[in-house]
Amino acid sequence: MKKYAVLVVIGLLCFSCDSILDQQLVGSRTDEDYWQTEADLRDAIAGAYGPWATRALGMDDLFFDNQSDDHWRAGDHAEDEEIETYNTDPSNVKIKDTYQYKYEVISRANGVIINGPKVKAAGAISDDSYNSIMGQAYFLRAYAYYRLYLIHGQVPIIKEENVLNNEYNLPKCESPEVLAQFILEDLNTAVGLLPLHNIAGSVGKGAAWALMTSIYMHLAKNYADSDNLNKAIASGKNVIDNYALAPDYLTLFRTGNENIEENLFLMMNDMSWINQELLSKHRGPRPWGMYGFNEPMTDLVKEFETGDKRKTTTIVSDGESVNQAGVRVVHIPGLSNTGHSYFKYMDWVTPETFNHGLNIPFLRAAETYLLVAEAKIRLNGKGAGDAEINLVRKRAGLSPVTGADIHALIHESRMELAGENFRYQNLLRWDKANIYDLTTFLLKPEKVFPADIGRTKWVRPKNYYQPLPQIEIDNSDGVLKQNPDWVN
Amino acid sequence: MLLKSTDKQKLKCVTRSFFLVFFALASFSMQAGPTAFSKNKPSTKTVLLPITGTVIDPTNAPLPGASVVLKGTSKGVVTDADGNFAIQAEIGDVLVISFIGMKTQELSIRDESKLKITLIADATMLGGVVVVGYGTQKKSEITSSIAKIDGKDIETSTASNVALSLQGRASGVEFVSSGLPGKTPSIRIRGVGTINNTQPLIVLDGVPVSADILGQLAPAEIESIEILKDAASGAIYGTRAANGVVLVTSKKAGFNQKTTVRLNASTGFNSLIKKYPVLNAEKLYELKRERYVMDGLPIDQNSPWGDEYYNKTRTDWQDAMFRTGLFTDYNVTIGGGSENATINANVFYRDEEGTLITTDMKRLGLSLRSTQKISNRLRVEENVRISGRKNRIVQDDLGGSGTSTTIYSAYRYMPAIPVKYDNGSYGSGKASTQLGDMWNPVYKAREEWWYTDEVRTIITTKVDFDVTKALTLSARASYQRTTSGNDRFQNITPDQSRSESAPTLEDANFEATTKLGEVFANYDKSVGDHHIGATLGVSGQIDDSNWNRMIGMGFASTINSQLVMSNAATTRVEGSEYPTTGLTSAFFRGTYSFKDKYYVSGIFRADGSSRFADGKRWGYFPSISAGWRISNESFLRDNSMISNMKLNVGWGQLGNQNVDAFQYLNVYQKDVKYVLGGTNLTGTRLASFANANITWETTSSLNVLLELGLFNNKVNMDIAYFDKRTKNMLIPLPSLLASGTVSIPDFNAGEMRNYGLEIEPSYNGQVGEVNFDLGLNLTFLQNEVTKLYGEAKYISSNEYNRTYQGQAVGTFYGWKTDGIYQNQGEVDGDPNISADPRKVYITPGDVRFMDLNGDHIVDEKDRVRIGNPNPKMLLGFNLGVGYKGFNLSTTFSGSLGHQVYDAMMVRGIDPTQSGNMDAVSYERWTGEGSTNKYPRMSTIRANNNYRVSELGLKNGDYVRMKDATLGYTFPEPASKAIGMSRLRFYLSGRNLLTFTKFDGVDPEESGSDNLNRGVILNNTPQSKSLVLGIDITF
Repeated sequence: MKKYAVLVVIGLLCFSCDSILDQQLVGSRTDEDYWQTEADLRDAIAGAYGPWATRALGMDDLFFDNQSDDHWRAGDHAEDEEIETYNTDPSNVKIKDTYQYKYEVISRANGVIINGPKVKAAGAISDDSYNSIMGQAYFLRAYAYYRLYLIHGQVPIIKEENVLNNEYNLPKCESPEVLAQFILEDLNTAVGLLPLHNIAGSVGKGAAWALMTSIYMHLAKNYADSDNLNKAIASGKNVIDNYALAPDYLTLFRTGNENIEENLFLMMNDMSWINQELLSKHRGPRPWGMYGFNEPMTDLVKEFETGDKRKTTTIVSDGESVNQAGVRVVHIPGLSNTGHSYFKYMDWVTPETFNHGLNIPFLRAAETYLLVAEAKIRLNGKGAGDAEINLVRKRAGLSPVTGADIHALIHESRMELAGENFRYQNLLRWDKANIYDLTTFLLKPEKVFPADIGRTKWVRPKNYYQPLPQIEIDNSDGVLKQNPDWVN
Repeated sequence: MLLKSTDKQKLKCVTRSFFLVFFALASFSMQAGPTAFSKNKPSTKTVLLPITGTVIDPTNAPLPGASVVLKGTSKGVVTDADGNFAIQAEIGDVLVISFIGMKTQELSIRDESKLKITLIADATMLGGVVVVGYGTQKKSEITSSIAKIDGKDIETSTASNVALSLQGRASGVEFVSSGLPGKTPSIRIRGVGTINNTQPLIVLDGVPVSADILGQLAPAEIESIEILKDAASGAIYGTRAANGVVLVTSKKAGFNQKTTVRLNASTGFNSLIKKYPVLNAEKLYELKRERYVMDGLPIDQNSPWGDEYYNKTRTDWQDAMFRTGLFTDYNVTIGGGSENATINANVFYRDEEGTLITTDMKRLGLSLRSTQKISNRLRVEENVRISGRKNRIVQDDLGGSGTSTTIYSAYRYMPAIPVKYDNGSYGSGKASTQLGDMWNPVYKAREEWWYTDEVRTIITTKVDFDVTKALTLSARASYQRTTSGNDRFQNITPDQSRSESAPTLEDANFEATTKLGEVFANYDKSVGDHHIGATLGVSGQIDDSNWNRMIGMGFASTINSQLVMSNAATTRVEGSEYPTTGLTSAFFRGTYSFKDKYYVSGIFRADGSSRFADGKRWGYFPSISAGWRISNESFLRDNSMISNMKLNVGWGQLGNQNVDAFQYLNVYQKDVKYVLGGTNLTGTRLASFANANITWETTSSLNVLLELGLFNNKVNMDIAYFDKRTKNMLIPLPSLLASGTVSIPDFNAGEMRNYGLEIEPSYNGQVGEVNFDLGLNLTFLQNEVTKLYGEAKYISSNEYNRTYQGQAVGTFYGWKTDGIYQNQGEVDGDPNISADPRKVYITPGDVRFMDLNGDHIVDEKDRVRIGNPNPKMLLGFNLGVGYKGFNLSTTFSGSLGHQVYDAMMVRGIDPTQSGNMDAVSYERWTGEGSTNKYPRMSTIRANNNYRVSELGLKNGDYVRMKDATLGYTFPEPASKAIGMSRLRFYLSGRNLLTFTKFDGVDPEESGSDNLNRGVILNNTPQSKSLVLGIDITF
């Protein structure tokens, strides 16, 4: 009897259910099975484009341009008021959000940069496709750091090796120039990998060149910093040589704009698949189905020359009417506080249905044309940028200028790029180049919305940059230091 | 087929082990034959006589179910309901008569006369048998802390969840729940062992189950509930036992038991314990207008406070929203057994209306337990239960902190607004935002609907094979299937202040499956003064689950019959499969006792969990305990006062594997949609980082238990000291923005300690014809988070509680207050705010907040610990009185030595909040000397009088009578005369009495989150009930 008992007990112990422990993660992928196919890589790069529509740029970054004289925040958000009155609390939610989501893009781009070679090594992707995707990853990482560079000056640089070592609590880089150099390296890599023209929605070399041009312009230490201005001209020339301006200004901001080569980098959207309404919905009167933020200032509207075709594309003012899918609708007083609304991103499917599928351009060749013109003027004086300026003016239906000086360039730039998130950053550059003194310029009554008059004070150098998010400083255990001008 | 192919492979392993065992069993059966045990006497000529008798206890009460066996044979019978038995025996045979808890007697047969056998209580069998996991043990041999609740003690409780009927019945165990019928409470055993999930493991008839099953058990089907409180008992469940183990055993019938039918029906009502005092429209109007006067402002004539319409009470919203709900409950049990088979069937149905209008819970269940004796050595058990519950609710039980919850609206909706206007439309606060961003709660309850339902099926088979008399092999296979749903309709409500954008129908479903296979051996043998017990086994379990949800929007018709998904203009489907998790285990328990004096017990369990990385999967959980029955030593043996004295000491380690699976891997998920080159793509992102080292939390627990019985065990006292230390507690790491939105897995870095004392004195005895049964249980608890991130950092997920190293979990953090500024001089001269830039805005009537860091500014730096939501003491009290057929029993439960934060009241005295205000707000400051408690009316929030401070902190202590039953059992002749063997009527109540100083909604908090304890806001309040029941046995 006993021997059977012993046998059975041994039998019980002998079976071990290791297979019970070998379970699969379902519905998600892991390092063990991701990064194997071209589709894996393509989905990952799509993921790196995605956040721009919302918090990385669309919802937050655009609000930093409220600090310019182009538009007033409108709406009822206290955090927007802090930003517009140059008095951002480091705990400001938009500061935190946009910072976090730019690093989210960086995380996604880093994923592609680190793991793309695995797909290549597996022989699962063609060289062309691989180079294009890798180039886009370098570009998108560069663009995220570029926005951080503009807003904060110095931030921690999370590179591939940091990701691999799980190092995220890093000090900010030593200077804005160090960050700029890192971005330029990425852009150089991107130029080497990207095709001149890519499939719709994907950036080509032009976007990288355009961004390089902008960085060199921001790096210019003084009015005629020949080193940086010449580099800006050189990289900008690549854009001018390869990317023509679209014949019709309005088409840049309407359905189908992804096929226009002037649009170097845009945020893709459509009604049926992405339907990311926030970005297209922010600007415009609430009764028209939008959220009513960022209302153009009269100062901007008045600057348009008579006959400038860009005026009606850019802005609709009280008493004027717009075409809402075949129906004329009048912008009646009371729709906006300033009496004006941006029309640039208003596209209707039917009079009631606003087109949430509009692609939003982030980088246009026209901006680079004007940067090159500016660099030439700053280096060589009046008239040096006439050629580029006149290309832009011609499209606007305006007569050519001759001997355009820096102020003519600034005027052209303001008209061409109104509402596209460039104005405040340009003003900062021009302050650094001693063209403007923002401490007085931004306080002029026509530059301030009446409700804010007397409440704004622009301080140099503090207001060149925003503070770093307080929560990040708190959680870094002393590793991340606040921008010195923003320490309480 | 319900199984997926991948699961099949995994099950194969379990199945393989079953075959192994079954083959083994079968071969034994064949070799051993059906009479292997009977050592038959040599076949001599014998005369069998019919022997009859009765087995009774010392009070002359018959003992049904007592075993009467012919010594040395397997021949035996069981006494019937009247204690009678009949057996064939011959002169000289010895009858062995035994009954649980009684001393076994032997009796030689001398003649045919009717026997009368009186069994007396066995001190070493005190408390009978205790279920300990994979077996049972004699109570006297237990060397750990196990609370046992007898099923019959809770059978008349009207609690909508079995766990709630345990409130106050065991020391060291706390049950916290909202008043939502059927909801399983959070059960905390010996404190808060982790900042994470502290729900204990629930095991029903040997099968680990979801705690939610406790809402689908009828009290009448429960035989007993054992709560394993320490490691020395819980280690048998290893990695799931750190929060304790609750073993629920359902009733089954015995062999040779006459078939009985027991019917229990009760009906009664539920009602609100108390109304929450709020203002009427006239007083609200007065106070809202007073704000402007106090601020020196003209009354805003465009607001409701310039409109006389709002100066007239039209609705008492609590009367409109609460009601007396009907309660109906039926339970039928049919049970009996032949010589070789038993069956017990139980059917229950309950319909319980909630105290909130339109809410109710219906539940229905069927359970079948059967046993077959295939041979003298082989028994097979089947246990099948199917139960379902459906609730209609008006808001999520989570409540939320928002003002849009229905409970909040029920207290705060404007009394000047009628439920419905004369034209039949619902009253609305849309006219002004000051009327509250709320729905008319009656509209919400009546015109929209929300159902949650749940169906649970558990099928279990167990095979027992007696290899020898001492060794039994068992194999158990169990399959559980749970489906739960959430069906909700929300309408477009243009005339209310809030509205959906379109009529919306939501249909969500969750499905879960658990498969369990285990084999184990139990050995039990006494040799002389030695008693040895051993349990050895292996177990494997696989869990998988998934959910899906369909949302339909836009319905042409919103009449109920047209609200089906196919009528929706647009539909959206979401869903996901949760990862399958597997647990495979081996366990051993050994017990040894000598002369019923010295006891030692050891447990070892090894658990492998698929939740963790290879190399981190296996955990080992040992425990050891020892007991010494001092009363059996010679120096105490004949002590007339001390009848029992036993000291037990135990130590062990337990795990908590309630950790999301696969956190050891980098996980990529589909995220945003995008279009590249005209191709629709769903972008992928890294969703969470890997923590390759993640593993379970480990709790080491020390237990010292002294059992004392005095005066022939009429007075008993158990005193236990426990010290539980949790290490490797999973804590969140502060996520850096620089890592984007990638989620960071928790790390095993925290430590927590819970220690305390449990004291349980009890008395049972008789005075004349009155039986008394008195029990008190007291628990003293201390909780401390011993390691977190260091001193400065804390965990918090709301504005009230913070968890710091060195303090109790979920401590209240806020500003200290020192009354109300009575005049301008007090404001001007107050050193607390002498450097505070806000000083210019502070006026008499504002709250004086304390500057504690000496910078003369009241700011975030002055937030300190202001209270502790964790009770220092739990109290339970049971009283039973019996006189002839009458029986009265009550249970009280209480929480003492803790605070609650009355966020509901703080909002209710804040005049800048929209909606109605609390009645106490009328006692506001109106001028110097008027009050030092409630601040002035104002439209300005400059001083932020309603920040988290001592103003909202209240003593949360309470003692509540949970269950009370008064019953009358008819004398047997009377019930027999009408064909019943037993007839009883009873009146049973719940929450009938509450003793508390707390003046808010309900001191019995409902939160399950350990980090956010003790905040009173928006919870469905407890209700009281009173029912009349009848209990008939045929």
